[in-house]
Amino acid sequence: MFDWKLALEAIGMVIYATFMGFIFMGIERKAMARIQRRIGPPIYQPIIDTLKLLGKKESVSHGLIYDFGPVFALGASITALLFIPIANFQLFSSNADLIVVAYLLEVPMLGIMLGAMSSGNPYSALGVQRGLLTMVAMQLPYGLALIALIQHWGTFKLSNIVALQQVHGWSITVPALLLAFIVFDIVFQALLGLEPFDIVSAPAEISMGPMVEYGGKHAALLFTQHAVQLFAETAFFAVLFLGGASNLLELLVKQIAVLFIAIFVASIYPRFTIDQAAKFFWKWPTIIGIIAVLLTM
Amino acid sequence: MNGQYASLLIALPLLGAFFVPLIKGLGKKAIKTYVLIITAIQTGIAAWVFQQVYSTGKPIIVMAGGWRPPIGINLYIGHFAALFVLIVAIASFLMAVFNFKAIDVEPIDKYAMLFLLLMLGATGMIATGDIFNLFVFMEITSITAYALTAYNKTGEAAEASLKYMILGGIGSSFFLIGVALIYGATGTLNMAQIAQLAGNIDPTVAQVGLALIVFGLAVEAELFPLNAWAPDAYQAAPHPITAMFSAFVVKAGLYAMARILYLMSSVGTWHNVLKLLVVMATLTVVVAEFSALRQRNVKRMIAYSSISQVGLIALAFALGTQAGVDAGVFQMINHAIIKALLFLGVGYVAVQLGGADIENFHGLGRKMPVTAFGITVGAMAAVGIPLFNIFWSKLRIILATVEAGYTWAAFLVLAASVVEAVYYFRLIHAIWFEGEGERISESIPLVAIVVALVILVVAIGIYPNYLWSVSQKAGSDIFNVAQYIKNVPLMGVGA
Amino acid sequence: MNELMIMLFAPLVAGFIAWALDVRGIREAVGVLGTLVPLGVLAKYYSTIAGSNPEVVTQTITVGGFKLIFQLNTISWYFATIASLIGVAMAFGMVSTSRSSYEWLFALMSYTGVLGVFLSGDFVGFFLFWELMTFASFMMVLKRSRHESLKYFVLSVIGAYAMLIAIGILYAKIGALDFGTIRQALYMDAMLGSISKSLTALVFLLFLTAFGVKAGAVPLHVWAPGAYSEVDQSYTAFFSGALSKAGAYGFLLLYILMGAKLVAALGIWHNHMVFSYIIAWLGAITVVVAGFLAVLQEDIRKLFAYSSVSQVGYILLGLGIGTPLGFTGALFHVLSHAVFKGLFWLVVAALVLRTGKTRFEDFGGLAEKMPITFAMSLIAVLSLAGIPPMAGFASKWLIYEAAISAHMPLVAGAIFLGSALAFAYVVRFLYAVWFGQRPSDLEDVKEAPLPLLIGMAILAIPNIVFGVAPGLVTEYLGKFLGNPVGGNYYKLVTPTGTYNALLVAVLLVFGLAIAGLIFIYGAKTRRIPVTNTYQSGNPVTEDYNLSMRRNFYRPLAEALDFWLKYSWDRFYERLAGIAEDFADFLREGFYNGNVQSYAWYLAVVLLILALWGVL
Repeated sequence: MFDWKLALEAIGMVIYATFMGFIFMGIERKAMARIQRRIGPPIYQPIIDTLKLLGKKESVSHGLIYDFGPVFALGASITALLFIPIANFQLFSSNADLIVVAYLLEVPMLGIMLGAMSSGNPYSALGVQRGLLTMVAMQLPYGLALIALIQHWGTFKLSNIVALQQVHGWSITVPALLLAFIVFDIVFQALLGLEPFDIVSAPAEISMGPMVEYGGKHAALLFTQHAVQLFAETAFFAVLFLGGASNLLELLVKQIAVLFIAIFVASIYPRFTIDQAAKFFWKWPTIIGIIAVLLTM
Repeated sequence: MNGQYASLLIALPLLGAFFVPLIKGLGKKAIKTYVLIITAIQTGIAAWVFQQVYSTGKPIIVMAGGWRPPIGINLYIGHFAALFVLIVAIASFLMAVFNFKAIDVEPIDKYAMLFLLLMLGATGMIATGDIFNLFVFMEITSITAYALTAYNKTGEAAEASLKYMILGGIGSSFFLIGVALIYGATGTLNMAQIAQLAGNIDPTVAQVGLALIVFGLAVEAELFPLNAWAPDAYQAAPHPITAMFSAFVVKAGLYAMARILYLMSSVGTWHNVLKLLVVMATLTVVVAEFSALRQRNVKRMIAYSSISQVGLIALAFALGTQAGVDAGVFQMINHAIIKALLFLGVGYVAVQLGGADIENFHGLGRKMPVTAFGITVGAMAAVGIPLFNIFWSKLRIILATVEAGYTWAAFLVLAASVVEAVYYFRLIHAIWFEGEGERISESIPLVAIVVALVILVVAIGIYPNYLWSVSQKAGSDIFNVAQYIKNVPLMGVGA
Repeated sequence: MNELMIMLFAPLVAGFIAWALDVRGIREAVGVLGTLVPLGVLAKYYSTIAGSNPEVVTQTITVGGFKLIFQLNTISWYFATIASLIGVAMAFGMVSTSRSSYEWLFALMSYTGVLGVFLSGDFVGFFLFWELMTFASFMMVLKRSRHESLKYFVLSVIGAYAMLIAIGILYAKIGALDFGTIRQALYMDAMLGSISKSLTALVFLLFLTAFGVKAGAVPLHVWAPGAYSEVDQSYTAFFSGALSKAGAYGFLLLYILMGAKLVAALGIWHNHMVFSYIIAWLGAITVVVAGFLAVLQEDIRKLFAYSSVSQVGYILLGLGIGTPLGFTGALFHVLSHAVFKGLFWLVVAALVLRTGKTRFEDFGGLAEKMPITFAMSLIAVLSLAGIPPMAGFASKWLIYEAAISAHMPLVAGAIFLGSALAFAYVVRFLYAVWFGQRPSDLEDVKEAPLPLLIGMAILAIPNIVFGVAPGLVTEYLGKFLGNPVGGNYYKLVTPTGTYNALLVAVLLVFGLAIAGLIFIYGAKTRRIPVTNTYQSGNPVTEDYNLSMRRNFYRPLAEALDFWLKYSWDRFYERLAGIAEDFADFLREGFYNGNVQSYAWYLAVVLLILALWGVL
């Protein structure tokens, strides 16, 4: 028995998320430009860029895994997206919980890395190394923030967490979870690959790191993946801490709010080196995370 | 057949030794063959006695000159003695075979005499039922042992022999004083009667007497710190003699100690002596194992190992429980097999390659594969690897030790066992995985012995049931003093 | 009922035959056959054990006055089957990698040992097979490295002897050695309290040492990197996949036998059983410390060795949580770690066999040369890194759920960190070995031989099957854990969370299909070599290898330099040195060859006797 409604919802959501993700990317560039007193590109610029890349006559490849990497990344991002309850669309969220989604959100990184590594470019390799180290560094506070959340609400299910927030107020209104929120927000910069944790791509140092070799449709896939991922992660944030949403518009407002926080932080702080980042993550965010976790015990 | 024929066990080696000068002129080979024959016959008699005792379940009591104990001296061949006399005989027989390869120094006739007397002494110590007679046999054993230690006529051998003699002499004198004290208190030398009367002695006298006896026997039984002579003697003595020292001479001393200890178990202060013994035995194990760790001479290394194993047996005997004694007897048998195997192998290597230094063992697996295999099995067994015999006895001893409440002793002994594993496995690594070498042809009889012992080791390791039941019987022979008293037909004295 | 004996001793006997005959071809055939027998017997008993009316298959023999009990129950069947699965894979691997009858003998002997440990229903058999397993695996290491093997053996034997003393204490107090009686007696004693608290704590500590060594819990893990490296790598699959599980089994046994007594004696702290909490923290520390060390390794074997240690830490952690859910997660992880780490080691075996190299700096670009092996290693990577829907994720997910719902947040935090570390080190392995420029001396590397590939396939399939259908495992485990996990074959449902593996798989396929469509309908691709990359205008030449293989995680090492100054390894080496010096001191001090001092010893003893007689 096949649930056509659900399938249609899923496809619609993927299209919506991709579109909004591109818009978010545009907002990010525009806002960043305004802060730096530039005019900046139009908001729809990422869409044009991607379409242009897709339209290229020929793209080069370093072999099967090189092709497979971006495909896998996009596929995994879509999978992750479909497990997050988006506004009134529950999609498949009743079938997976917070831990599963948190893991699924990390899977695309593996795809990108696979492709990047198989290109043989040393900048890519450096990017991979930095990406993994950032992940190692941020995972502890990230985990602690999630644990605090789960402990407070007593459930792993994202849909239940949303429902509970609707009744008892948003997560950030709880003092302990406010601490978790702060931690999560710091980690969020790294999740999105923004300053001060844009160590992975570091355009001025290692020429976009993992992405350096990609062009043509491969790059287009990666852009699309980034868009979906951006949408999914902001939605994840909103669901966890900002009470979710009852309709897409409300969710969009929250997502953009989250995005703007990230943009402001990113435009203020310069980039950490990787060992600085590790030491930073293992100090304050971890301590705050531990406090949050103990408070919710 | 009449049980009195068991006296041949004493008579045969004694007479055999006296007849050696008669065949002196027939050459080396004849003398060695003669020794071989005597030991073979001895083995046959011992096997018969063993069969008798274990099938009837009753000890054979031999009364010298028909005098009944306690007036006459009696031999008491119970379960334990029957078993150990057999082991003494077999070990001697195997070493008599080894003599053909290992002994080249003249005078062979003297060697043969001493060899037979050593066997006699140990047999006597185990079989006798009279405490003064025990002293006599002990003196026979130790004096032949002193002489045999010096047999190689090197400076080292002379020095080792002298050390042994001094310490052994002091030890036996104290033993004699102890015997005298006991005699003074009980008025008898018969062991069964001593046991009967032990409860009535003044505890202080009994304690002092017992302590002195233990002290004297501890030298023979290689207990710390009275075993300082042993490594030197083991190293300097001819290879077959070393094997015999380890396989039964020291065991005879241990047996004597255990026997007297349990005879006196009704003495009030008995447990104090036991505690002292536990401490000494544990220290023996620990010090000996650590001393072996960096030993470069393999024969000496195995000597240390032997001392430590003996310490383990002493520990088992000193626990004062049935389980402990059974385990101790079991370990005694296993240890005799293992050390015969190891000293035979190492001795053979030393004979073939000129010395027992560790360097000679590099690449031994290629040079002398069967001997090397034998040493390897012996080493693994000594460490207490399952599927080999010592695993079972060691397990028994540790369980008995903890059960008796000496957890600290179990800790120390096991810690020392870790050290033992290290040096044995270093040896195994040197044998198989270091150095190169050409194949040297190995003597068939020795190879046969090695293989037979290896099979025995593994067979007991896989199927210990029979030997365990034998050990249990032999153990209760020592532990169950009441039965011992009952078995000896005391001439209406006392009960 | 003699099938238990056949199953137990078939590998050992096969090993002896293989060793004694030592004919190429027959040796391998006998060996593989010997490993297949236990798996066959276990398969035969599946319906008896897991059926609607489960029975316990018991066999008793008397050896040396001890009654040895062997029983096949739900738990032992599970462990034995995992061990047999790895054993068969190992045998196939060894057909390709091992040319030595010596290795066949001891590999199969350790197999018997492991089975014996799992089947034993009393402490004598348990100890016997425990020692046998240790000894056999030690002999495997001894062949390659004396130093590493002795380190392994000394630690293992310390563990084994600690266990022996603990067994002795229990025997002294209870008077029995079989699990049934001990369990009952300790259960009763939990209420009576006749065994004192300190003694119970001592027994716990001793068992902790014993099982901790075998499981490689920090700080008793130092043997693992060396021992796992210095053996035939096909055997390591078994060593790390099955042998280390004996430690985990031991911890489980601790719960079964002593659980009630330990709770009674050691008490409860903030709703956690104290003894259990200790185990959980031990696991958490192991996960993190070994994870960090694994990330920093430069040798492929060392990396996976530390990874094994770290992953077994998850199992301990899961057991330490002490709830049925925790046990389910831990036992599931026993299975998934066995299959993915076994697979990893077989991949390493193939690499070592085909290239003869072990350091990351010597590898590169092998994905084209060994495509099947690469695919296998990708499966293993996905499973170890915990990518849904692989077996590794399902078990890890259960442990997460258990840890967080049992309110052990900091322990759960350690899992998060450990997972990131796992991700980091497997990707490093992928990069250094399979991608990038190929060193010129690896140009004529061939695909792994067929038997080795069969071995890999045997282990790869469960990774996927139990990943997509984790319910198969949780349902079986639920039989004796009281069904803490609901759902069906494809869906796990705990009281607070849910994971539908099949749906994840389906959606992943869906996502991949969308992405794949974009890719296929995009422009056509042109293949270019690895050396044709963007290098800021610098041309790349063949003779200058640009791949980053050495010190891949240097920045992490710099961030951790304070902690890396301390090393358990060096600590133990120093301890061993002290012991050796002490040995010399004792020997030279006591057996000094001076007969006068020997005479003094006599005098001293006499003096002691005299004093003690007077007092």
